[in-house]
Amino acid sequence: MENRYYACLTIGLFLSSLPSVSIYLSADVKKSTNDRLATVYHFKNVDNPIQPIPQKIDIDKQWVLLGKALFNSTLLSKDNTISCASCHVINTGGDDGFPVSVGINSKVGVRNSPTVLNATFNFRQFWDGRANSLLEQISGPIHNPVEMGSSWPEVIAKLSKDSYFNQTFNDLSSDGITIENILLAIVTYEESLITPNAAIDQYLLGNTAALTQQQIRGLKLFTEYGCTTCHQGINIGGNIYQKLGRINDIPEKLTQDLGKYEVTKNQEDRFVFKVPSLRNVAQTAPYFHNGSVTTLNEAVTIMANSQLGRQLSEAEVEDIVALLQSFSSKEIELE
Amino acid sequence: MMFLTILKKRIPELLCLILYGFFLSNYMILAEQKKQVTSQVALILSLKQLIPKHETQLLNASFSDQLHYDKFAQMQSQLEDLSAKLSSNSNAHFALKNYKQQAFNYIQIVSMMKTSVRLISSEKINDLSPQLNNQIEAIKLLVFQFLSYPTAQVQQDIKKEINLLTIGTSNSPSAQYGNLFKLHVKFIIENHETSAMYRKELINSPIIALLFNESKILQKQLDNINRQQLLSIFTVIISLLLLFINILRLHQNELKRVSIAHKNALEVKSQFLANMSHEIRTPMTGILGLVTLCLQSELNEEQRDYLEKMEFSATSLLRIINDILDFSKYDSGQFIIEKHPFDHAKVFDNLVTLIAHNAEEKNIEFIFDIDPNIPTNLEGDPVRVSQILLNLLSNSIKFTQKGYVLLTCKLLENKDSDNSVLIEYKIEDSGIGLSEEQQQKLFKRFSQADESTTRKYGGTGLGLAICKL
Repeated sequence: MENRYYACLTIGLFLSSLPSVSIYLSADVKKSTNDRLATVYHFKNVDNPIQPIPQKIDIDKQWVLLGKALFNSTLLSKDNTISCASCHVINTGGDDGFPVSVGINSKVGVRNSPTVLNATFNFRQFWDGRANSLLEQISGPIHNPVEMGSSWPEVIAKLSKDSYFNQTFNDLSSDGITIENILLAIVTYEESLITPNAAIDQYLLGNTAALTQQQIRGLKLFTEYGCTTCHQGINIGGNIYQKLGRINDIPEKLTQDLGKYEVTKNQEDRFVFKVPSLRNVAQTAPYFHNGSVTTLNEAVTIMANSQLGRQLSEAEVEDIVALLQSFSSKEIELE
Repeated sequence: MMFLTILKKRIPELLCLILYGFFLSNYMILAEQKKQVTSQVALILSLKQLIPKHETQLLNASFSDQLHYDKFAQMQSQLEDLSAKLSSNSNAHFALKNYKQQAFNYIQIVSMMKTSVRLISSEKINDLSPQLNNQIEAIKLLVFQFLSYPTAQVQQDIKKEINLLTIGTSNSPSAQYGNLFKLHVKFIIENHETSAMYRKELINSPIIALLFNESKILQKQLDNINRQQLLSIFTVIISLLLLFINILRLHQNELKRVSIAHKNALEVKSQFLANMSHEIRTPMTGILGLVTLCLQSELNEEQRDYLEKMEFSATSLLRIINDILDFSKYDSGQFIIEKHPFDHAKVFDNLVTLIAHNAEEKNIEFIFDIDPNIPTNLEGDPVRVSQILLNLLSNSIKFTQKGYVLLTCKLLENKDSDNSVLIEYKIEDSGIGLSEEQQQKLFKRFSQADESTTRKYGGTGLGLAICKL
């Protein structure tokens, strides 16, 4: 009798504790247990609208390698045909050279794929800046039906079956393969994709011989004519929004896409795009959000007219294009 | 049905458990809420610190020495990060969204304005016609006037002048410059008002005040949660305590029940013993009487010897039975100390007649030392006094092989106030004595100093226990 009473009481206590325990467990203090080193860039400020790319960077190389493997893995797409690297070819400027990119089942997207090189220095991601960070951006292409057309559970299931990914994820994080860790790895890899020591950077850091006379003329025009209104900072762009055709009309072929307006539906946001970075611009043809302009000369002419109301002479265009060549660097950290 | 009756019996426990479960869960829920509110508080604090810095960067964007907007972009990123975490039902949420939109709008226009102003003020073309040059200089003046003190009148004037500007359609440098000039002046006068409006709205943004309010509200919420949490944990402790008390209560009831049953059983036993003793005593008296009668008749030596031994045995047995009877009387609560006048000296007379011959037989000196101050006429129960003394003395004699047994009787106190006396009876012998351990057990019933003595000396072990009563 007595034993039964205590047994019942214990069971009662246990049962009445259940709801609170379940609340506690469902709240689950989720602490990520990976000890990835935070990426640190060693910036150098110069007295110029254009700022040099940091030459020194502290980054967790293990995560970079994992991120690189993920970046090149077709497991991230629904039918295993496309990887991030399909549209962002690192060695050819970080994009694919097509006006718009081809996704799974040969579907085509609506916008030109932007470069991943130096993307970490952009203040927002995508042409319309709808993603706040690289972390937020990655889910976009993976889920976009005309890009990779996959989903996180699918991706995780496929990665778990792969012995390399399974091993590496578990080595680097006690959580193993999770959305957070996949994102973190890819972001870390993207953070490593910076291209320091372009000719312009060497010039800015004091090596006046780094630019040719023509390029120096180009830089003068670039600054005086007001290109640096928008194309300034470390990424020579990528740090503000601006309206395409701020001063003058834009060519018909660029007016189909309303830019940020498509996201916000604010009248002020019609034709507003994130100012794209001009880093490695010589390698990332074709140009503009829909890739409708094939040469730098044409792009420079359009920009000068529609943004600044200026008709450039051929010589001036040549000078500026020469300058744009100096924004390229083959050097990729850790490559 | 049975389950229900059990439940009914266990209502206090059920209530305690329900209280316990409910308030513990409540505590957990509150802890969860607290975590969220705390993170919101921290978030709002960092927003409150970030926004003024961000605003400064933004308003500085129009300064010509602000060469690039990396700092602005960095702060904008931080702002976006923080605002993404801000709960969507926060009052500040909408204001923050507005603020961000205005920030973007403002920096677009202001960066362009800066360039436009720089272009129209600094750009020079050498081979302008004097007329065009004059017109342009006049417009420049008006524009600067407009920039420092914008009025609708000046705006109208500039528009008029701009339209009057005669630029050739040719592709000459001067025509190009004229067009450029026109576009930028138009841009300035069209957008100056908008930029001023954005600027004003940014400066007057209610966001900081809203955030301040929000943090005050959250702080209040936090206080409230803390209070409720304290109350919950208090209730949980109370309910557990009640549960414990209930268990103790049940235990106590159980013990009480057992002890009553125990007592009843004991009483029955004592009653039985008392009855039995009584039933045995009657035939014993018969046997004793008949033995006495028999002894008075003519008998040969052998018969007399048998009968005398029989009388002795019967007397011993009767004494034992009397002891048991007394004891069980006490146990069943029937033991009464009587109170009537008696002669103190008579007690000793009885003692002498009862045990003197035992001492004599063993050749032991048997001494009385009686205080002469003891008043002769006392009131009390002489039977009990002599019974106790008898028990003690017979014990002494029993365990003494040679030497003496001394009974000292001394008056300790004679209180006139309530007319009572305190008398000390002390018995001393030269017998085998008792070890300390044996002394501990002295007054326990059915126990003897040395269990083995039962064989040697006989006795039930009840005698001294009765004395103690």
